[in-house]
Amino acid sequence: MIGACRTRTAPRRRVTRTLLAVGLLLTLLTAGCGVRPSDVITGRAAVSGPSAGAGLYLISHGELALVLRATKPGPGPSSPADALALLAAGPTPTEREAGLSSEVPSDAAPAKVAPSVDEPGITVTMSGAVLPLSTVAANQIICTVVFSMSGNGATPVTLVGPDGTRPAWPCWLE
Amino acid sequence: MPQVLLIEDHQTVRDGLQLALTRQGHSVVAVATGEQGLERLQTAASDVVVLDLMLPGMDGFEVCRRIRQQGDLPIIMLTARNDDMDVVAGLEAGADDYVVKPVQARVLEARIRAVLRRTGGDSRRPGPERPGLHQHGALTIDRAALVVSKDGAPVSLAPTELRLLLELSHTPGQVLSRQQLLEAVWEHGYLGDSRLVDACVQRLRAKIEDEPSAPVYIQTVRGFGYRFGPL
Amino acid sequence: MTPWHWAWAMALGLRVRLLLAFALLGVTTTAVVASGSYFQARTVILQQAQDAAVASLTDELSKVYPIVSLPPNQEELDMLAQRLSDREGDAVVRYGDLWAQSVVNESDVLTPELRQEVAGGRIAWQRVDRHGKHLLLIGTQLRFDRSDGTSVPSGVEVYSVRSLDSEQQSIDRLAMLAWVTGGLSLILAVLLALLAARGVLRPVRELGRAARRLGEGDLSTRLTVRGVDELADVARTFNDTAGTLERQVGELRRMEADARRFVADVSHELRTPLAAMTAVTDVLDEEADRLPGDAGQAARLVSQETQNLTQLVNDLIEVSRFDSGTARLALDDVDVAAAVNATLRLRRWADRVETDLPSGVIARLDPRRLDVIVANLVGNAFRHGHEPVSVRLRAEPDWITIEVADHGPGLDPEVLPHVFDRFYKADTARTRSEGSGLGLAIAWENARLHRHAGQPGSLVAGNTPDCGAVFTLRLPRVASETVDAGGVR
Repeated sequence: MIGACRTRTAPRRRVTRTLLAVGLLLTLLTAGCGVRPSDVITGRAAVSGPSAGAGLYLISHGELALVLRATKPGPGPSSPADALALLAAGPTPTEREAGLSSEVPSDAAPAKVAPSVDEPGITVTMSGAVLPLSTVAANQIICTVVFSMSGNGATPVTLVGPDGTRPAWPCWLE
Repeated sequence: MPQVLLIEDHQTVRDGLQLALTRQGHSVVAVATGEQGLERLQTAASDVVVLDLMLPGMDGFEVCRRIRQQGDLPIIMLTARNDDMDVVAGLEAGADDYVVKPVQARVLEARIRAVLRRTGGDSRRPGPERPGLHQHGALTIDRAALVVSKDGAPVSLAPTELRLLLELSHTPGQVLSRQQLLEAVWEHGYLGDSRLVDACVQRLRAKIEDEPSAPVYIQTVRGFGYRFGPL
Repeated sequence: MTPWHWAWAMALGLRVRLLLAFALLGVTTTAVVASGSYFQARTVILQQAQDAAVASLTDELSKVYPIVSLPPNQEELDMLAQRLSDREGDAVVRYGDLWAQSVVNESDVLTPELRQEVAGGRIAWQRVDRHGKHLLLIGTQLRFDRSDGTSVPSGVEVYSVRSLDSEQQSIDRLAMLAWVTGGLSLILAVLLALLAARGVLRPVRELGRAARRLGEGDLSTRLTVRGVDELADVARTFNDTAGTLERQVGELRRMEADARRFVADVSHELRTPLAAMTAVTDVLDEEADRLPGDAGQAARLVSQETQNLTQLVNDLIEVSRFDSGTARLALDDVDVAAAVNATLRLRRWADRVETDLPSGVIARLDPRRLDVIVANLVGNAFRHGHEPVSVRLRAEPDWITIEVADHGPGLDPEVLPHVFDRFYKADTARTRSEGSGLGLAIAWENARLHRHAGQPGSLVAGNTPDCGAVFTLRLPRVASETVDAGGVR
């Protein structure tokens, strides 16, 4: 009676398989329901807008931080020379309270800002010595000039002082 | 010498029966049709009629009925074996007995003699008779004269009917089986056809009972037979 | 068949299989369609909600510009957070170590990967589950434009935390709708399957019924042919087959009836000349002794054979009456012992037969037929067996039994099944004069004609333990007229 047995088990196995498939389907259906957590989705660039007053870079926790000062009514950046004068004056007491500092010496100003003569970029002619300036202080000066000139982040800036000239350097903020 | 009227349409059968019956000592007149037979009965007397049921023209049943209307002449039917209905119909039409064809002459002859014994002249055979006048309700039976009257008026009974009545009324209140009656009245030996009795009882009831469907004189005892009375 | 087998056969029945197939098809289709549209709709709903939230946040933030002072203090951040909060979401604003939030402790929901992405300068969002609540987190930096199209970060980051509860509700409604649709479609599939199964199974069932009726002998069975499908083909074939069968069986029956009628007709035709001959056999018998030599012998021979021929014709007519179903019982109340004795006496066998006949056994039967049966059995015993022949009567409440036994060689086992066949001769050398060859067949038919409570009487042949054949006749105490008298042999 082997044949009889075989014929009987075959449909049984088929039914079992069918039940399995149905069960799987139901599991899938119930599992995918509702709002699922997702990975981070990125959209367009961050919100950006205009700034007003003079912008200068101070140091916060060893890194450059942009500070805006309301110097005059109306939008638009102030002139680079003014901005450098404010930078050389150092942080206000409020700014100091907020943990900001500056390494730019007070004798850095006044300065003259003009486009470079024989190369692209900007040349800042300062009244104080430029060679002893720390890298952070140089970056403060360069970024502040670039910000107030509405310049490009890649624009090289050359610092010139009575003691010599520092090599041109862009404002690497990011 | 008994006068036998033979009505049979097949000539060879007619001739054979006539030949055999004549040799047995009967005076046989043989005719081919019912009409001829009836005609013959008008002109000459017969003691018994042997009648084939299958006749051309007027059939045997009709002939039987007509003879019965005119009197109590005994009638023996010749029937075919496969015609049970014919037997019943023939008995209802008034036949006294029947034989099945083919029949040997001596069988037919014995039946003729038995029938003749029931008729007046031959019926005073020794038997259970107690001669004299017997009164049963409205029925008067004169066993000597063989006359039956009801309320003073005579009742005309065929010989077989009379014999049956005499047999039954001889022992009033006692049940007689059909086979007993067949032996006593028809002299059929043992294995007769009980329908003969039933048909004769029906005819008898029609003549003597006030209400044949609710008989008083001849009562049926289911499972046994018939009895006379009790009144 | 055990209940399990039966249940299994039912489970594998056409109806169940069709039902399962339809249900499976319906469920699968619905599941695929419903889940497909569900996932699609869910994605659309979430995307729309996210896009709207991002657009709303960007819109709000663009109103913050131009920013005039940096760095902001705690109050300024708080103000900004308050301004960005509405009833749909809360805001978290961060500048360096400063945090401002409209609702306490929102900052801890912000995931590190989101903050990292925001620090990269792009708007980013993420769906998270917090304590069973579905939240949408959106984050962006505030940056400053530069004239060349680039921007620089201001150091301020804004996060919006929105609840997705209303979206969750919409999606739940969607899921509910999918389930309901699935359920309805399952019901519809089952209904359709039942309908289809009925459509398929009804013809099959009709076919089965018709085949059964045909098998039971109702050859006029036909099916109604509906449509033009395969089942209609089967029905048509069935009808054709049944038609052919009916025609052929009808033809056979007609031929058999013709043959029987022919026998009956011949018998009837023989009767008239026989009637004439029989009438004069007595004359021949009487004259034979007086006739000289051969003539007398011839006369006796003619007489004897005429009687035998008469017996044969009578038996043939009797048989044809059984065949045509016109045989009727003439019932009477009979003392069976007396009837058997009368039969033996009438044939002058009474002295040669040992009888055991208790008196007082009354039965309602046809005495003429009883006589025929007993006479045939006893006559047969004398012809083929050896004396002594014995007849025994036994009475039961509803039946009587008559045994006729002889002390001959008994019946050959090969003969036994044919004993009651017409014209069957066990010994081929036997001469015709010993009987018509129909005696036992007629006895058998006569026994069967007596019925009681739907059961016919019987006549059985066998052998006694001490050799010799025994025929056992069984008749009802109270016989009734047979409805169908035609014995089939």
